[in-house]
Amino acid sequence: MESDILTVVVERYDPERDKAPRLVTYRVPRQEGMVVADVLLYLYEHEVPDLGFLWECRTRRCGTCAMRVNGRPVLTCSEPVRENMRISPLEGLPVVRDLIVDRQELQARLAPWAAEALDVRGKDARILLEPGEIAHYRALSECIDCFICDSVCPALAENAKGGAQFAGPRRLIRLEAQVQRRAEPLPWLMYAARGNLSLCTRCFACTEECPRELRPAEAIGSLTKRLYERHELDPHKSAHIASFVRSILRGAWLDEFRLLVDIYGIVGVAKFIPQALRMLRHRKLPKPHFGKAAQARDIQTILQGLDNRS
Amino acid sequence: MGNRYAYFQGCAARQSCPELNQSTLLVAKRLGWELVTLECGACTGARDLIEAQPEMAMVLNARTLALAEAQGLDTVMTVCSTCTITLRQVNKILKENSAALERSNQELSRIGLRYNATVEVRHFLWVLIADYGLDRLKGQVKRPLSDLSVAPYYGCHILRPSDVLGFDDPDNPRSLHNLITALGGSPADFSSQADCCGFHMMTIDENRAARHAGGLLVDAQQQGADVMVTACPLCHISMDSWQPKSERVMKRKIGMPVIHVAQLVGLALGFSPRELGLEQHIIRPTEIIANYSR
Amino acid sequence: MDLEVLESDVLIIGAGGAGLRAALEASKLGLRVTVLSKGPVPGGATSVSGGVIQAAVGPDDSPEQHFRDTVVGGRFVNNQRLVQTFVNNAPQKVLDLERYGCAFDRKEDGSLDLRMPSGATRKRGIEGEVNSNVQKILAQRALERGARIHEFMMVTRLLQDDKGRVCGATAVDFAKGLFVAFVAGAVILATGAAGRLYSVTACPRSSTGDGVSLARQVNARFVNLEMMQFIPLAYTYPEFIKGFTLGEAPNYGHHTRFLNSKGERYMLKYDTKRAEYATRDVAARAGYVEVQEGRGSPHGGIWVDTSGNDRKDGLYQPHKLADRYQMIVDFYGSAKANFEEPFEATPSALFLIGGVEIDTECRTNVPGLFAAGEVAANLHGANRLGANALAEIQVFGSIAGSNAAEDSRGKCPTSTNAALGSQIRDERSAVFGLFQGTRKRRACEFKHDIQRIMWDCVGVVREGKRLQTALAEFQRLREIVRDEVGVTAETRRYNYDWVEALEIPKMLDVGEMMAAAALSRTESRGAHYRTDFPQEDDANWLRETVVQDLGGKLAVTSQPVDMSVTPIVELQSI
Repeated sequence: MESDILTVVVERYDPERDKAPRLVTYRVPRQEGMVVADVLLYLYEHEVPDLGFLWECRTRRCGTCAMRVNGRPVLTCSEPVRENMRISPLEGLPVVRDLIVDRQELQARLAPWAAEALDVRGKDARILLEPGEIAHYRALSECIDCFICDSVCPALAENAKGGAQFAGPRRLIRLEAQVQRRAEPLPWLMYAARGNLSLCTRCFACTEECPRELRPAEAIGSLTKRLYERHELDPHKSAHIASFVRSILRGAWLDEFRLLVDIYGIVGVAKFIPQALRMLRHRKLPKPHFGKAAQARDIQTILQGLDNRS
Repeated sequence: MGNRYAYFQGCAARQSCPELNQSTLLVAKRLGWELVTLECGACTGARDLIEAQPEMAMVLNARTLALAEAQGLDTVMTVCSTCTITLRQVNKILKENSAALERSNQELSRIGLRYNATVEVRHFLWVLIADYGLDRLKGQVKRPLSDLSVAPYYGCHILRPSDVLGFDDPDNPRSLHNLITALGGSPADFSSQADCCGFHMMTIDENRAARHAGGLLVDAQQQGADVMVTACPLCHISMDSWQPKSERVMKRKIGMPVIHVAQLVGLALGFSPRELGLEQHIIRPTEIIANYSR
Repeated sequence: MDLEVLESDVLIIGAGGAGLRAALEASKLGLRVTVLSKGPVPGGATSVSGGVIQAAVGPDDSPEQHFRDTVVGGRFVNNQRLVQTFVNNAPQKVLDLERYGCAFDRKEDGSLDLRMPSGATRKRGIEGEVNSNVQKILAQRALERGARIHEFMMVTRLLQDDKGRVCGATAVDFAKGLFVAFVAGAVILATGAAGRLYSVTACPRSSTGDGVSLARQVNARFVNLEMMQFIPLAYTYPEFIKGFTLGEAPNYGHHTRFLNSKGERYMLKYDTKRAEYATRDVAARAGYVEVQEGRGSPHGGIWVDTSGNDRKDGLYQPHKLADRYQMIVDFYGSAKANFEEPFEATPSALFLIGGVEIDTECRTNVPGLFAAGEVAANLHGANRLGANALAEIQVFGSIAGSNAAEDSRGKCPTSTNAALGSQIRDERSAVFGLFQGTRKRRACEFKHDIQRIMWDCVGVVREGKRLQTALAEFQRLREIVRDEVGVTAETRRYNYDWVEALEIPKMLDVGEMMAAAALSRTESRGAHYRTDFPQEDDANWLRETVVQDLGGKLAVTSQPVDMSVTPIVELQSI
C-alpha cells in the first residue's frame, strides 16, 4: 500500500479570537480507502489539538459530521478523500468554531413544537400504518438533522434579509413525518403552516443534496396538499392552485392574466398596471382566455371526480 | 429519435414569452427538425397540480404524452424547465408503476386514448446537444458569437432532482457552457449559475422573489457577462420581465439582458435579432441588437 | 466565576435507549427530569445498533422460551430473576414503541413480521426501525412531556450527600465550556457501552464506559466485568471505519465461509459441528487467533467468502439492510457487497456484558443510584444473544424510570447544601486545572496506549500473566497521566482534547476493573476465554465475579449466580 501526501486546505475560524476565517494548508499521509474524517482525525491527533470538527457514529446516523468539501455539502464519515481538498463548514449557518456549525439545542432541533402549547396530551394518539405506508413514513422519519438541506436552501438564506421567515426543509420534513402518524394531525399542520412553507421556491436543492435521500422538497409538497385539502393553505398559494385547476378545465392552458386576478383580486391587480403596460408595449402581455378551448371537454371528462378538495 | 419531435410549447411560450416560441421554430426549421406542435396539449399544472392535486396531474400529463405517442412520436420536446421536470416526473411514475399507469389509462379510455409509456420527455437544449450534436451545430454557425461573454444560467428544474432530470450534473453543470463555446462565445462562469431564480415564490412574496432574482443578475454581471442565457421562460420572466422590479427593490441599476437558448443559437445561425424577438424583451439587449443586425 | 446548579427530581446520565425510555416514564409521572448526554442525540451505541429487537410476541413463542434461550445463550451464569423480569416485560415494553411513533415491519395481514435472531430458537425478532430512529422518537416524546435533555455534557463525578446517597452529578458542558452541577432526588446511570476502551470497536466516539468509573467512585458493586462481547466480523479499513460491525455468518446467508490467508476454512478447527455458524464468541476468537498466528489477510483480518450464498437468504437483503449494504459498497466496493468477491473482516469490541449490579427494580447497592441498559448487569450471563440488548434498554429503562421517579419524591437536596458545595468546588478545580500548568502531553496518545493494552491483554483471548501485565501497566499509566497530561489548546468550546483528558482517568478505572475481574475468573465461559484455563468449570464457576472499589483499593470476590427460577440442569438438557 503506497502512501502519498494529501494537501488539504481547511477553513479555520474561531469567532472569539479571529476577525475572519482563514485558510490553512496542511499535509496528511494518504492511506487506502481514506475518508475525509480520517484526515481531520489525523490532523487533530498529530498537529492541530484544537481543530474543531464533530463526529460520533461513523455510519451516517448522527448527522454531526456534515461540512463542505470543495464547496459540496457531504457527511465526512463516508466521503472519500481527493487531491487538493478544500474543507469548510456548512454554508449559511452560524459557525461555532472551525468546521462546527450551530446545530441548535436539542429541543429546538428535534421537537420544536414541544415549546408551544400544541396540547399534546390526549391528542397524540397514533394511527398504526398500513404495511404499504410504512416504508414511506420511515423514509421521512429517518432525518438525521445533518443540516445539509437547510444549508443549501435559498429560501432559508433569504430569511436573514427580513420579512416572513421560512422554516426550512429540515423542520418541514420532520413535521410531515409527525403528521403522518397523528390521529389528529391538524395542530401539527397549522404549526407547519406557520413556517411559511409557501416561501419554498421548489428548487429541489434539498432533495438533491440530502445524504439520506429523504426528499424534503416532496415532503413540503405533501404538507401543501394536506393544508390545501383542508382549506388551511395561505390565501395566495391557495388561489394560485385553484386558478390553475380552473384554467386547465376551461381552456387547457394556464390563463396567466386570470391567475393574477384570482390571486390579487380585481382591485389588487391594479398595482400591476405599470408592469402590464410595459409588457403590452413589448407585445408580451398575456391575454385573458375567452371561450373554451377545443380540448377542454376532453380534459374535463378525464379530470372529473379527481378534485380532492371538498 | 431521428429528427421528428412532438413540440410541447407550455403556457409561457404561448403567452408572455412569445419570442421563445418564435425563435424555437426558426432554429428547428434551420436545423432540419420536424416539430409537430401539440396544439391540443394542456398545461402541465406546473408544481401546483402535482403537489396539491396529484391525481389530476398524473392523468392530465398522461394525456399529453399519449397524444404524442398516438402520432408515432417518441420524444416530447419542451422549452420550459418546469414543463420538463413535471412531465418527466409524471412519465417516470407511469413507466415505473404499472398500477399508476393503469389508473391513468382508465381515465384516458373515456376519451379514446391510451398511453403505453413509450415516450421520452426532453428539453430543447438536450435534443440540441445529444441528438443534433454540438460538432454538427458548429458547422452550421454563420456568425460566431465572438466577443460575447454569456452567463450560462441553468436554474433548478432542468437540473434537480437529478434522478428525474439526469442530463447534466447539478453540482457542475456544463451543457450551457459547452453550447456557448460551440457557438463561439465565452461562458462567464458565475457561482449562482445553478441557483433558483425564485419564480415560484413570486406570487407569495414579490419583493423577496425580486431580491433573489436580482442577486443572480448582479452576480453574473460581476463576472463580466454581457448577456445571460436561460433555458426556462419562467426564469426569463423573473429576470427580464421583472428586472425593473428587482432594480427598484435592490435600489440599483442592473440592465443585464437575458435571452433564451433558442435565441442564442439563432443569433449564431444568422437570424436577425428582430426575427428572434429580441426587441420584445423588457431589458433591451441593445449591444446585441446593434452588433447582430447586419 | 459563576457556577450553575440545576435541580431535578430524576437525573439521568446517558441518552441512549435506556436513558430516554427512563426519561419518558419519569416525565409521564409528572416529575422534573433532566437527561445528560455526553455526545449528540442520536448518538452513543444505541444510534449505531441494528434494527432487530427480541420479545416473545409470536404465536408459537412464550416468555419461558425466551428465558431459556437467554440463559442457555448466557452459559447459565445470568441472574435468572433479572432474566425473568426481562422476558415477562419485553413484549409490552417493546410494542409500546409503536404507540410512541415507531413503525415496525408488519405483514399484509397486519401481524408483525418476525425473524429469528441468532442464538434464539423462535422467531421473535421485531424489526424495521433502526435504533437511531427509536432514540429520536423517545427523545421527542420525552421533550414533549417537559424533560430537559442536554447534549455534549460529560459527567465527571457523582455527588453524594452526607449519608452516602447519590444525589446529583457534576458535568462539563463542553459545547459551551461551562462547568455545571446537577442535584436530584434520584440518579439513573444509563451510560451504555465501553467499546472505545479497545483499539478495534464497533462503538461510536462517546463510548468510553464513563459510567462504570462514575459508579466505581461511589463504591458500587460490579458483576461479571470480565465479560466483553466481540462481534466476529468488522471492517478492517479505512482507519476511521475500522471496527464497525459487519455482523456474523448468518447475516449473509446459509453458506458463508471464513478463510485464512492460506485459503483454509479454519472454523472447522475451532467448531467442527457448526463451523462458521458457531456462536459469536467462538467465531470471534477463531478469527483473532488466526491473525495472531500469522494467517491473517492483508489488513489484519480474515476473509469472508459469501459466494456460496443466495443474496435472497439471511438478513443480508440489500433492500432490508440498505444502510449496511451501502456501507459495504462505499468502503469495500460493489463486487464485495454483491457477493462477487470475498471481503476482509476483523473481530471487534461490541458490547459490555457485565456491569453495575442491579436488582429487578434497577436499584444498585448505592442509595439513590439506579442503573439500566448496557451499563447494568447481569442479564446476559457470559454471552449476549443478538437483539436482546435493544429489548433490555426498553424494559429496564422503563423500570428504572418509574422506580427512580417514585424514589425521588421530595428528596432533591437544595443546591445550597454545604456538603455538596465542597465536592462541587473540588471537581471544578480539577476539571479546569487541566488547562493550567506545565503538563504538555496529549491525552489521545494515552488513549491509544490504553486501547492497545486492552486489546492485547483483556481482549478476545486472555491469559493470567498478560492480565497482570495489564494491571501493572494501568498502574504505571495512572501516575504518568496525572503528572503529564494537560490540555494545550485554550478554547473551551468543543475542545475534544479536554474531553479526552477527562476520559483517560476514567478509562483507566474501567480497564483496571475489567482486567481484575478477568484475572479472578479462572475458567473460560462464553465471551471470557483464557488460554491458561480453557475449559468451562461448572463445579466452581456457576458464579458471578464481583468487583468493588473500597476507598481506592479494588476488592475482587465472587458470588453464586441467582438460579432461583429454573434449575440449570433442566436448561442444560434442552
